[in-house]
Amino acid sequence: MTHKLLVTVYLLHPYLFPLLDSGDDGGGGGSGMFDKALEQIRLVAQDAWGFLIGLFIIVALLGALWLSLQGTAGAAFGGSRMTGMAIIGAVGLIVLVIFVFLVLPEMGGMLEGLQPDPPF
Amino acid sequence: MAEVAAFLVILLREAWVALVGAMVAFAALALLSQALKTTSASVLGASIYVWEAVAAGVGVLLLVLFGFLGVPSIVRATQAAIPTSAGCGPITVLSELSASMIGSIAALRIIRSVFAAVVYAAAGGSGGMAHALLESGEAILGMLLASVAIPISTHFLGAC
Repeated sequence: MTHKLLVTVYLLHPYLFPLLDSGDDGGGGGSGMFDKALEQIRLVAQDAWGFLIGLFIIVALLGALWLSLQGTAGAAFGGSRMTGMAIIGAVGLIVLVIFVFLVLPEMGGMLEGLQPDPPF
Repeated sequence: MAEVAAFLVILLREAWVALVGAMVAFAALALLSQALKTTSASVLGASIYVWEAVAAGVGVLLLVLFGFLGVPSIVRATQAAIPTSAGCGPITVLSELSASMIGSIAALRIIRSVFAAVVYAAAGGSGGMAHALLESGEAILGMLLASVAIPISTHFLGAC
């Protein structure tokens, strides 16, 4: 039991002793033992964000192409409802693209600014 | 003992900061994925999927706002309800330390369950989300029970 405790303390000492010495109040600016994990999470999240944005651009481009084809076909064959639906869909797509590229980063920044300090 | 308690509280604070940071990253990704789902469903004309994705995105946002704005207030209120000066002598010191530890652990448990609720809301698991929110209520109830238990046990033991 004591051996296991000693091994644990030895393995954790690079994290534990700086934490004791730093006098960090947990405000998020110090070198805490969870900082490395948080850094890894941030890296993975950044990769995932880039992947999802790429996927979004592909889906939006394909959707725009599909709606253009639908609108053109409707206009060529006299299908006014089909053309109207395609135009409405294209407007919706533009709104969604604007939402993702302009509103979502702002929303993320807002959430980042709202991060609460520990209430204890 | 005070040093050990202070060290543990610092550790729990670090865990809080890490959990909150991870929650921000996860919420941003969840919002982006729901926007992607909305776009693909709207292009295909699947209106039910569009509304499902919009509801999931709004749910994620509301849960994160609850976690960031509501949870610290709830924790501060319940922490204030825990008596820290029950008894006398070493009992007072012990009760102060235990009150701070109970509050810290419960706060961490609540924010962890809110994080789990955000994950379930993003993945569309309503049952898991309800269970996670129930867990946060359980943590608050535990804090309130502890606030009752400390003075009762002090009087029962006849420490003063």
